[in-house]
Amino acid sequence: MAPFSSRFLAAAAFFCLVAAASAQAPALPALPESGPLAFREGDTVVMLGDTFLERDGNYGHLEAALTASCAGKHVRFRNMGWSGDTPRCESRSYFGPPQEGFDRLKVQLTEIKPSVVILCYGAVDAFNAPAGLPDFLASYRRLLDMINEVSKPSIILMAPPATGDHPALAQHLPKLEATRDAIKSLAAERHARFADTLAATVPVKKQTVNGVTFTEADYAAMTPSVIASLGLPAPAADDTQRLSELRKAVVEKQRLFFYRWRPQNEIYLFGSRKHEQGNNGVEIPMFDPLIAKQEAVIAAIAAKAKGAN
Amino acid sequence: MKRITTSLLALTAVAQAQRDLKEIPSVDPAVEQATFKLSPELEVNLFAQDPLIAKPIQMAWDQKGRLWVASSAIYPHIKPAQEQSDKIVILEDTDHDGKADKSTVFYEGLLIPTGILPADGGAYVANSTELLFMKDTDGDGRADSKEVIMSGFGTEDTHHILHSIKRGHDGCLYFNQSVYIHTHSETPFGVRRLMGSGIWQFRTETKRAEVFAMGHVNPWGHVWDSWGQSFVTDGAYGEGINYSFPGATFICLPNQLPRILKGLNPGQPKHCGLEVISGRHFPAEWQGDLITCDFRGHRVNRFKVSDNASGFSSQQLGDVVTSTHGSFRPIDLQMGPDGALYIADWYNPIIQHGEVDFRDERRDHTHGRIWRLTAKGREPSPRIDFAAQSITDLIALLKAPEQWVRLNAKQELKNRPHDAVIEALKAAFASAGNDTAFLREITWAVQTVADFDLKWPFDSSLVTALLNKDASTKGVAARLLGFLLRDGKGSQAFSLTAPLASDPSPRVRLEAVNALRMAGSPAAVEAACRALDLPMDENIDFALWLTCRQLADTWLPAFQKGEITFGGNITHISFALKAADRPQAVGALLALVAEGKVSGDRVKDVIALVGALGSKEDLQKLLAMAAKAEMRAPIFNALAVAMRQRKTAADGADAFVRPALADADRVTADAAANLAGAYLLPALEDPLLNLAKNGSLNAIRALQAMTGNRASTLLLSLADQLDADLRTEILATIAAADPAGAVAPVLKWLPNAPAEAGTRIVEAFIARKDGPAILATALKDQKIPAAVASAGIQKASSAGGDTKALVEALTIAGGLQPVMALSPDQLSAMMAEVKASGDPARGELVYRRASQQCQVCHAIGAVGGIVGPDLVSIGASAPVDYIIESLLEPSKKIKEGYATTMLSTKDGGIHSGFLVRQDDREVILRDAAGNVESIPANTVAKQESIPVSLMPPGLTATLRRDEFIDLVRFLSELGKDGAYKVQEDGTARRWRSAQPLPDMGRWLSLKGTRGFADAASELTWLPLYSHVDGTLPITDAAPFKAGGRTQAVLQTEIDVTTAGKVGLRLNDATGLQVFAGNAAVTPAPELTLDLPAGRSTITVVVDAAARNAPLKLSTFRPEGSPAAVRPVGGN
Repeated sequence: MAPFSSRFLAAAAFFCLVAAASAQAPALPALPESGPLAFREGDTVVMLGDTFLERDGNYGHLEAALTASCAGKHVRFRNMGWSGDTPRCESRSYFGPPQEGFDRLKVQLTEIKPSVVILCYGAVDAFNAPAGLPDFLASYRRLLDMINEVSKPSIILMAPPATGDHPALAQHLPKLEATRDAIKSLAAERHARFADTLAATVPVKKQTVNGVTFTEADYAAMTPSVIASLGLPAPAADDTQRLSELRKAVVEKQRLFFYRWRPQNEIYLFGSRKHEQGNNGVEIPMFDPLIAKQEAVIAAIAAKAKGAN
Repeated sequence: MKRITTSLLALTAVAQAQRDLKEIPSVDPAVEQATFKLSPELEVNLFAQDPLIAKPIQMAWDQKGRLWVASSAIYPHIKPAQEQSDKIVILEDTDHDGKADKSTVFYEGLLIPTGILPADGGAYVANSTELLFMKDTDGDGRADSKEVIMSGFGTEDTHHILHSIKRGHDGCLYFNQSVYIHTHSETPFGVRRLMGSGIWQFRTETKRAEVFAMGHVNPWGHVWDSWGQSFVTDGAYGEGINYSFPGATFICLPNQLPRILKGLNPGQPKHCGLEVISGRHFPAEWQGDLITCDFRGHRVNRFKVSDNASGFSSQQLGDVVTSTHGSFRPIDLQMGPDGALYIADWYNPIIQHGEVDFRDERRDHTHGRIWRLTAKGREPSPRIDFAAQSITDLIALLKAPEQWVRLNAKQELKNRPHDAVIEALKAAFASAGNDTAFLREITWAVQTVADFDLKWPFDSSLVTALLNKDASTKGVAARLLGFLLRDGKGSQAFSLTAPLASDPSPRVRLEAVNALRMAGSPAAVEAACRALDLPMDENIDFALWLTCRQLADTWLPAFQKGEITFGGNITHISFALKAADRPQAVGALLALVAEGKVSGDRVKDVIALVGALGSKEDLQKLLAMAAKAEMRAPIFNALAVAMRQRKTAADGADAFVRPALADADRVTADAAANLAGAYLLPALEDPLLNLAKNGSLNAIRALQAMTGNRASTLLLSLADQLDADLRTEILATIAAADPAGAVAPVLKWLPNAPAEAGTRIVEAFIARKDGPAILATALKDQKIPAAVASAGIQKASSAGGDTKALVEALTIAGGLQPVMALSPDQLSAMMAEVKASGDPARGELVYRRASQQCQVCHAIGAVGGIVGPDLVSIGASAPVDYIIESLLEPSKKIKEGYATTMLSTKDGGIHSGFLVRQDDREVILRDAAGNVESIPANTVAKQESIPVSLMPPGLTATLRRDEFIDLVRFLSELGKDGAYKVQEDGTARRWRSAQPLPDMGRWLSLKGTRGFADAASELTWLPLYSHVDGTLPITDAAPFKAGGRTQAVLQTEIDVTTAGKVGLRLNDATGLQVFAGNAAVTPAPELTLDLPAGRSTITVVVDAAARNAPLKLSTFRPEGSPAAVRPVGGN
């Protein structure tokens, strides 16, 4: 059963408008499964996951560090984290079942054509571990199959991050570990790179908002070890000025991209009330040039500073 | 006769680009204020205005007596390259003269902030996908720290996003989201999702977020009374005040539960914001009254609620403020620190962005006002410096009459040393005696300061003490016990809660049933079911049903293993099993029925449940029970459902069906035919033909299903002899199976058919992919009645798929004028004409004409059809151009929740209609005729929401231009202050009129006039609705002559929710005979009746010779009576 299919077509049509802007070179050879990691000239990197990635969009620590790692290489990052999401795409549907979100993500990825997808799932499913892990893995495999079908990108699977102190989470670490182990085995099975975000963040002192989501200071504290777990070079200690500027620029780009890929008023712009106010949907692609402009700003900051180093 | 559509074409162009622009009123606050009409005890002054604030959405006072305002100039949608610059502004009245004299921008840079609550040393802000906590850490009055507390709130509609942040008496934060919003948020207790609207409950200490209640369309009002009971208003649904409690579930689009609760004032305009009056500044008779905003009608309304069993009844009082100023949009209300009532005026001629373009030039982005309402000649409430109070003083403030003071005192206690506060609260509790209001506040204070989700600082003595007090205090204790029972904790709490399910007080029982749901254990379900031993009401029944349903996966296995037994109480067991709605429950239920342990009225429910859920084995048992004659009809129908929905059949049905087809009882025979058709039982043509001749629709359908095209011949041979309905049904049945074969007989029939045939026949053709084209071709050069064509167009145009050619063919064959869109100039000219010469009284008569079909689908104030939106405040909310376009081109303007859903089934069928509800078992659609259809979910191939209105185009095509203008004028007056605002004054507005029988004189001589009041009589009735002013013209009723007299009979229903003396008021008792139920009552302008709880009919027999005056009948509660009564609405 494929409910709401006309809406997918609408979403597809909508994203086609940016196809030109998102043109991407044919698939590159896969990134190495282990050892040091380096993004390549022209990579388009999609970050896909739940609150952990989504909220970095507010602060930019992770994305600024990722950007700094490949300054001068014209690498684009697209943060598509969504609070509460799982490999079933449960948060990505609007009015339909999770399948609607899964199908919409496919349309979006088809237009963005990522060459690398960094996935960080498991924080939500860990609450059902270990009993729920077979289902988690099955849905994860299905998601990876879909992503592979879209643009055969290199895949990086991140373990969920460690949680902080909270009375309700006293017995939570074993569940996270079981989830991490399952993701690690999945990465091996798919010949994908695995990053042990859990091990990298357990030792980091974290304040957290509610035990499971993080403050800006937490992101700042965790970023070096998370970056290292990905196999990327950690930013130099004297690079704080550049990173701070990059962070601001990245957050602004992320804000513009958010208006573009998760605009408010979905029901009127592209949903079941499109017949009333759908004409306002023409404004949404107008964010594309703004995003491109901001990416130029980001590249300039990254390049300038690189020269200065 | 000149038709509207042709005359429109002849309109001369009037140069006017921006229609309606000239109606935009002056932005001068003095001009606006001059339009205010106030309740006589009150006066108003302007507290703050633009440019100090612009577009206020929500406001809240902080402890220091400063007003925080969330405002958005960006709404409804951020433009590309527009700065994200929405603000939180703090307003201060430093010299206490009732006017803000200082304003500070706390934060600039938000995206349509829709909620604000200063608390915990900062402020909670609803900002699109996130709930923020912002703080000023350096004391400059501006936020310098921003933390995301929760994220993942949906943004599908910017006037539905996270809003209405409130602090409950219990110290929790509560906030709402509306019907288009889907939220997914990670919490330390796991992910929490809320799909659609509802109220969140949030503990700031543990960041635990749970769904408190679900439903409503756009609920922007939530307050608590002094006893901790929640009331909610809905800005997009018309049921006035809604009583809410943990787990309460109201309308959703579509509904996710098979049952929902209703508001207390059906038929009200939509309401935004809600405040409860408390404190010394307002007069005594205002205390506890609920104040809310009819923002469409430029009014502030007042309601008084009173206890009614476990819930409440709500009565509307005179308006607090009314205005004729088109930009006065009251949307939020707050009692201030001075005891005055403050109203946020969003100030906009355009209310929202669903129906008017995001970038419409008439949309205001710069103005806004805060009005201050005070009681004449009364002192302001004393201001409190909370920070300066000692712990003892703060606890003493819990006795303050002002709810705002009590709330802030509790909050301030959080800032004091925890252990000292707890000790002081314990001491206060010990010495509070029977001051139950104080005891409740102390209990809430403990909940506020304690991290009670994790550690409850008291032993059970506090709860035990509360449980020895009055019912309201026990209710507070039960709500607290619910918190303590969460996550399966608190065995002591359980032993305290369980007995409350059979408490003498219905409110306590309701709280207990809800609290036990939190415990989540089989024993809790068993305990909750004891509520069934005492009188149930709608709220308790719902709460218990929800408890049994939500916990079914827990208790049902335990019951099957014998771990819980419900003490063998069959009433408890059957209620719980039925609510569980799980296949595993069916076997146990059937066993109970077979043993004769289920009471008569529940047996049918059980049988239906077996049909919906039962295994083959269950169905077999069910069939065996058909040995009992009186059970046969429901059993056959349930078996048919199981076959059609789940392809599951019982063996050996033949032996039961064959004899039953000849059963003298028509219902049984018809049900047998239904099952024969579902099972395709062989060799039953003759008995089915016999039944078909006698009017059995199921027999007709069964014959078609069994014999295919051969049935056409059989059935057609019958068609000419049958009445119109059956003839139509036969042709429709043939058409659905064989459209080409049906063409000839259909064309023979349609020229003489009634309107309904158009609907049914077209429906049959469009159910097949090739059907519409076949019928369209066949209609070429044919003539059919206009009514048939119009009905057919209605069906075809709301069906989705390719029906354009068919609509055109029907239009031509019916001689109808095609609907014409108006040019902007034509529209402007028509709007001017509506204003200049439209007559709303004549327009109301046009609206009421049967041929216009308005009342079939629409209600005005909850009386009338339910297919389309209630029009009670359409005039106050929609611009005239919107109304005109809605009438001419219904699909251009579709109210939220009224889009059409189209389902394609795997067998190639197409179904369309309003989506009532859907779950993993079935999809329920309601068509334009109000018929409800269930489609098994597993047969659906594709589901689409299509931008087509169920309202047929061309309904107004038969109107003269002047009639159309009058109709628009009438609609445009609805809900505005004046004669076309529905008064909720207990007037009965839904009537029915008895239709004459063939030999009325003989019937009357046998039965007497009293026969009209006999519920069991064979009379047929047709619905009638009163005029908006509550009067019903006697001439609208069907007259009949008998014994030389002309009479008419009218009947209405009233719902008595609390028994007692009920008053009836008649505008004029002349020429009437009145019956209450079967009992004759002497007619008089005022009557008092002693009525039991439940529905009562009031029958009025009118002597046409003695009376011309229209009839108006109202209910009221006589002085001192406990009764709660309201007229029944609906269609």
